[in-house]
Amino acid sequence: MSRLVLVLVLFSVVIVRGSVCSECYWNSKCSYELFATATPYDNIRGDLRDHAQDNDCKVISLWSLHRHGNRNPGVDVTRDVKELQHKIKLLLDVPDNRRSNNCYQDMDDLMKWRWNTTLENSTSYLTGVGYEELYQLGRRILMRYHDFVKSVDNAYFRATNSQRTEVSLAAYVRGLSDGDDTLNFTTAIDAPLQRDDVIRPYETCARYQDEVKNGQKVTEELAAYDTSAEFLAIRDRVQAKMFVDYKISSREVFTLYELCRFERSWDPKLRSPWCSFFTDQDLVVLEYRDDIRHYYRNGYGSQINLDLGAQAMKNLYETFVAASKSEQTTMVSYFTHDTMLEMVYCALGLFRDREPLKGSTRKANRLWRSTEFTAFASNFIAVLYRCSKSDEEELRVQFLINEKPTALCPEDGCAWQQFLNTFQVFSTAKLDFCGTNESGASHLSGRSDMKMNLASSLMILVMITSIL
Amino acid sequence: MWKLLIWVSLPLVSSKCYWNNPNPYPYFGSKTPYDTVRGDFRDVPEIEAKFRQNRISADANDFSECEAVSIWFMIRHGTRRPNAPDTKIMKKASYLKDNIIHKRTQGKGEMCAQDVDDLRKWMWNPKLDYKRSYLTTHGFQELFEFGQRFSQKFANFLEEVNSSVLRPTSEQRTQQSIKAFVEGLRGINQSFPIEDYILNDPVARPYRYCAKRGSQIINGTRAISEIQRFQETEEFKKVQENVQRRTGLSLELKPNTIKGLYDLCRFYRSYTLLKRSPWCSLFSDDDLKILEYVEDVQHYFKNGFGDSLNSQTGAAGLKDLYEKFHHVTKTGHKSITAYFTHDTMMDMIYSAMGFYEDYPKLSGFERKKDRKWRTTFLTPFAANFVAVLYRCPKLPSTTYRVQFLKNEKEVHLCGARLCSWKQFWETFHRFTKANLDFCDDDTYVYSV
Repeated sequence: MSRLVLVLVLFSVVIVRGSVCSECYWNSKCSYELFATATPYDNIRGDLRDHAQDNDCKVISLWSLHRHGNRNPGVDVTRDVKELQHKIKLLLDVPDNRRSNNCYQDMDDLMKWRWNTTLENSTSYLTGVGYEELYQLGRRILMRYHDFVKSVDNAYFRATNSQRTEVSLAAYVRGLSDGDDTLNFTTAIDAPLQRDDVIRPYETCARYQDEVKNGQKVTEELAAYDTSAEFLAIRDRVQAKMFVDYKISSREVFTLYELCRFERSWDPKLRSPWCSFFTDQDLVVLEYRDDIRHYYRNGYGSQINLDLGAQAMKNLYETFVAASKSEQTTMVSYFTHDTMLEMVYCALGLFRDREPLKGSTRKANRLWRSTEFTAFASNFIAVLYRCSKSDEEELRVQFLINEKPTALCPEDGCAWQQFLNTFQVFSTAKLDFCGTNESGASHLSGRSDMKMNLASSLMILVMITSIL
Repeated sequence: MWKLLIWVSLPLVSSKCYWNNPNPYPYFGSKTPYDTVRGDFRDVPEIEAKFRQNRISADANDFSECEAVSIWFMIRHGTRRPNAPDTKIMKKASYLKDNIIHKRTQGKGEMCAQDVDDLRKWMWNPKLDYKRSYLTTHGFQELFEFGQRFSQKFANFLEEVNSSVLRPTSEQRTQQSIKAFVEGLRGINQSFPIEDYILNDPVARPYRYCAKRGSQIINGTRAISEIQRFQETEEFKKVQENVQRRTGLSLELKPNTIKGLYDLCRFYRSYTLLKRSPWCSLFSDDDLKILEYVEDVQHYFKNGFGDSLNSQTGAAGLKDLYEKFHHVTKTGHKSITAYFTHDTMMDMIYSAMGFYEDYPKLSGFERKKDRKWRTTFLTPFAANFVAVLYRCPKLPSTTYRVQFLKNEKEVHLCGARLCSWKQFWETFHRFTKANLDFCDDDTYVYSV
């Protein structure tokens, strides 16, 4: 009898550990969280408040560039996902079709899921989640730079002309004045410009639109990606998990990915049953598609992108130079899009891989990862300090990307001269190269935007100097 | 270049923060939420295939018309609030919240700003003060969904059941659990009456009936001395140091305080949707593994192999399993039997069956990392052990087979998916001789 017990004990192949990653989606312990430009901010950010403070240094200027927060998908994506979910839901409603290789709970969750029709008439709108992202960021800035924010002399905020950036700015401002009735930044908010050469120069740059955005390179590289072995393998795997009667196309595989990543970003648990069709490895490969698209559309794929990014850096340079000569403190924050952020990083030479990225072969350990620098609510913050060491006063500049230190400067900041060395080159940046398109249509030449640009920086200078 | 500056020492945000840790350690002994460890009835393949390759049984036979004729299971109640003594210790520990926040503003400790922020927002839940040990809404949900999955998996069987015995123990949490389960069976066209509880139920709670257990184990010192022994080890002391360092608190953190903080973490997180609590940010994954062992040791000696009395009390429950199945083979009736009980009983039946037994025995002397005895997987909230009796008419001789599931995952007690009746008999028949006579207080049962 005791032998039987021993036999039973030896034979009890008990599945004690439920933590194997290849189990069902609903209970998987390790799930990949990185979704390129649709990554929630909290998944990749650092924290301003966790950085060391130096009591000998005082903030005299803060300049920041922000991407809007979490938003609804755009018009095209919304149309595609609506169609796909409709077709799949129809299949789910027929009991015989429900047999698939997916886990029961995941299929159950999918059956209970409903399409939210408000997505159809609020495409690209900032969501509640996005509002919260910017609100909390504003709060953290207030907490970290409390003395500076409370007493800042000149604040200037502007968003691009879109709902998601304008409301992001509003959320940010609310966070900045969190719980403090004496702080009111609403007067600092400038109206968006129809044509904004600092933070959206690419929209009105004919050459960019023709050669880059609608150019050959992007299309070619995306086509190479879409026909790559890795991507086609994903399609086959998804097909195996899909319902028997439904043949999913390559294009629809990416639409499924879009449905997955947007839906999960709105869920408090950051999960969506639509993601159950993908393994973690599939998600790693799919993440690469945005990286390729952005590399050629906004990144190192074209010199034009670097030149467009220079405009915002010129603004940063001018703001800090003015602040360095002034007794007044200034705060400038701009709200824009991932395109702009990427162009700026290229102008600064950040996240640059030695070899250009190719759509046909995925480079696993690449520097260019849109997840890292253009997730929702991504931001670039530059802080200018005046430090008093013994008898001397010196200026220092610190840079943070998504609340983490950058490769531009060491964590405790760069010397003023270093800043000048890097940024002076931007002071002469122009948009002349944008030109007009061949039909000579409505694109203004660079000059009048320069005037607008100069006007706003002059305004700041005037404000500062008039009080000196 | 830059002279050395005087920094107020605040740590850099890194993957050491709790708030942005994508996979914090999810195992919390008997306070682990059911969903963390369970499988799914509906994902267990049907016993119907003609198989050669599938190891359904040692003999190559036709299982295509097997049908379930009896199901017997024991299940623990769902997520509950802490009991009175635990609540007291937790509440005392929670008073440290303000100290910790204050230390952070002074720049002491290593906690990340976001975690401290979240701790600041945490409030004591007053329900814990008066609804001690009560089932929570989440616990109700756990049992309800269990019932739903159970009814989906065994729909045909449930529609045709002739007799049912569904009985809770005398506590609020098991009575609510059974109600939730029956709610989950809603879709089935049958009624499943809930029996009245029996005080000191000899099947579902034989240990309460047992006076000897009271004196030998509950009032005995073995479990406590083993725990104390473990609390003297380097490993455990390291946990105290870690928490001290992390929070920046200067007062000494006694084991009871650590227990309070640990319970704050694991109880509160089990009540949330996200399964997180800022109290958990006080501990690293390793700290949590060490604290998990404390409970494993406690259960091992109170309910498990640490005392041979436990397998004897467990046997009293399993006697019922054998009898119910045996009865069905004789009468052809279809029956369902279910007891809604406690982790103590679950531990005892596993001990009686001899599962998850460690050689050498566990003790407080050192933590055995690869041990089989893990309360996280044996007795999470809503833990269950299900036995299904199948009648397979197409089989040559004995037509009965038995399938076992633990937390909705099949367990192969006989080396294959199903045990033959003979194999089942060999293990479970001996329990018919089990009785609770030893429970009178005269003799001390020595551990073998």
